[in-house]
Amino acid sequence: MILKVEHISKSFNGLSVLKDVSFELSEGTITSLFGENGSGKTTLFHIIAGFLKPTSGNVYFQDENLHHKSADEIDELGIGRTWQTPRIFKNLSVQDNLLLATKDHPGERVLNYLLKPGIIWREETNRKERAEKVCDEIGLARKLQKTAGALSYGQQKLLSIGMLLMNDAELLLLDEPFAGVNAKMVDAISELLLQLKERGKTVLLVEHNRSKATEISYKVLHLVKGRIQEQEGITP
Amino acid sequence: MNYLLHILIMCEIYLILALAMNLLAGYSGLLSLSQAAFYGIGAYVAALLLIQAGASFTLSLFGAIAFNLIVCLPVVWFAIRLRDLFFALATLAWQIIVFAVLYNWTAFTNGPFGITGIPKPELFGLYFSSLPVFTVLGSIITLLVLLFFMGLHKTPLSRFFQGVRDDQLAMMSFGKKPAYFKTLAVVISSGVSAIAGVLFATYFSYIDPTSFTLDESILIISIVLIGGLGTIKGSVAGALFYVLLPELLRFINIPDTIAANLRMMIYATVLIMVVMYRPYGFYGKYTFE
Repeated sequence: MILKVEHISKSFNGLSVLKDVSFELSEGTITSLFGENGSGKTTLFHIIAGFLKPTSGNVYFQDENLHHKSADEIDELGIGRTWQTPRIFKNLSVQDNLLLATKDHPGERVLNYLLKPGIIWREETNRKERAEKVCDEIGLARKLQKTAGALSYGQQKLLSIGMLLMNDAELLLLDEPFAGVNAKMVDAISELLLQLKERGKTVLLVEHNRSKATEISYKVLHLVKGRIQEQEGITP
Repeated sequence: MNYLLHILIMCEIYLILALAMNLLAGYSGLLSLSQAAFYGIGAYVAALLLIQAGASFTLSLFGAIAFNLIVCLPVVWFAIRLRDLFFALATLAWQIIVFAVLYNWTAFTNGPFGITGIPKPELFGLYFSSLPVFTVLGSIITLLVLLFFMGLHKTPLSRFFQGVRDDQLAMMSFGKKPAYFKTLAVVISSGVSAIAGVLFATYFSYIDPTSFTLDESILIISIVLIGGLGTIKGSVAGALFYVLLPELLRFINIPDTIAANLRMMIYATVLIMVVMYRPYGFYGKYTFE
């Protein structure tokens, strides 16, 4: 199991949003999480990604307890997330967005510019080459130098997924990847998710577009009033 | 000729200040209202080192930069903890505090009377006392600052600053620490502002607190907003626009009694038009929402 969520509960000022939520995700699968608005789906994402701490319960990623880990430490471990509204760097190019998502760039540290400038530029070149490949993979090859804010909404969602790939995320938490995009783009995104699954990536997606999400999912979870109901084996 | 050289030196001082401000506001999204405070501290520290301690110009310059790196710590603290308008308000408070210290700590700053007799720079046995040679020194220093920022713009570090500006939460979700990049931006910007202060103090040989007021901070922001946030050429255009436009207006035949005020009114009108019709300034890549 790549992810194990055990007895997670979360309350805000006495209001219980998640109640004893438990489930597991197998490596290299796509799982959909459905639920009405306000059922706690995004809260669950926040907890797994480290942006919120649960009131009780634990989350394990590759057998490591995430309870005391911050969002950036969880990112380091290999959990990446997208947001309902794509959180991209709108004034930067698609290439810069992809480069910003990479881990441990030596150019992040000032001292490296004095001590090992060669490594910075070598790494920069390598990462730019990788960004080109990922851009091609997500179908935005011709937009590499375009400002991210000028992309269509659907393309911004593709870019968000591309950023997770640059980030080497093993588990992708996708918050409504199909919402607000046209049918053609829904197909493009679902095709990309299936390719990622083939490559061994694990995907947990929150969706309202049940038919499309169910079509590509191995497992479907229903979150009803903060409690989980599990439904197995849609696509083996 | 001297008039033109004077304008050139003023362009250089405001260009350095604009570049420092652009790193904060244009690259990192930190709208600081205390840039004049760092400009002033730089000028005062250099003046005191030159006069009281008899230090060399080089030592005074680096002393002023180093001192600014320490006194910028409260702004670093604000930058890490506060966002947007709250950060601007905190830096406004810092600007007011620094001005009050410069104005009232008479034992050190001589208060409203200012410090006179600041010596001209001396480097490698050369004495930069005349206007033409001072202009050469100012141009060399400004060119070095400009090259520094052009270099910085090309590094991956510049991308991280802009990432913090565009979306802090997204940066965090990719394992980046926005606080680190904000700290760097404030530290670099404060240090560079000190250089402008040292040039100002040694050029005029006299400083007093009225040159480093909140008005001056707002003016520095307006320079980068007009020139355009997030680009080097925006800062250059903004500094040239600010220094040259009032000078050009001198050539319009306006009666002496109202000339100064009318020039400022024309300047202000042009500012309003730029803000209304060019929200990204002349060469901006980014604008505050």
